[in-house]
Amino acid sequence: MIKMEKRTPVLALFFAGIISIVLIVIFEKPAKPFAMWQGLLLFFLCYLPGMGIALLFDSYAKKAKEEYLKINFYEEKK
Amino acid sequence: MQLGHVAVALAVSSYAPEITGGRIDAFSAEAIAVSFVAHWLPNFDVIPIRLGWARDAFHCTWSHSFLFAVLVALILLPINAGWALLGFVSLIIHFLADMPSSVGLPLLMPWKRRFTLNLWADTGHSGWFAFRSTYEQAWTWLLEGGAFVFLFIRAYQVGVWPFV
Repeated sequence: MIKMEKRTPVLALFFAGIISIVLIVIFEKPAKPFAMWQGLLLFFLCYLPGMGIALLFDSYAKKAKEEYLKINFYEEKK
Repeated sequence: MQLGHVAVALAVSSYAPEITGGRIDAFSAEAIAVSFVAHWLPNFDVIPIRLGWARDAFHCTWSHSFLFAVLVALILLPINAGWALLGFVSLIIHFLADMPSSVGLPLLMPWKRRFTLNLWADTGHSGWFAFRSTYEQAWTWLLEGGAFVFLFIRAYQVGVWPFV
């Protein structure tokens, strides 16, 4: 399980909603509207970058990056 | 980039007509096969590492350089010009997709300088730890998730599943 702050998944839902609405406004053609399930699928997919935006404000994610940057994973084992 | 490569390769295949001058259809089996194989080709450098024939540091070296992309395109050119064009673009897009990783890509090999956007820390070439630790970081979700959203919109524009 990925360690994160409790608010992060909730924030991700919020960002997913915003991204979905923006994309529908920009790309949906009046002659070819999204069906309900297609809209839900879009929302589900938008949850992924939404989680990314939420993780930008998450201290665990920042710490993880800092810790991994200290390690050279390509160093030969002796 | 890990899972995001799937979405990126499929998204490249959606532009096959534009890339190949109409030789290959968008999202056709041919487009998907060529863009997938070419897009994943640089990561096949993990195979000799896994087999013990190369060191870990071999990952993201020659196979992630412009020289490699040009060589692959030149090999494909006499076989099929469409494959060469689509393969070349798929390889370049693979490099772009890997650029945010801290490992950096030696794009101008044999000049060894590495180029990186440094948005996430690289945690190894393969294995469960590399996979899990990649997704502990923000930008992997943002960019790889964004690739899947982009693919969804492309599918809508082109009119393939789930928009048939």
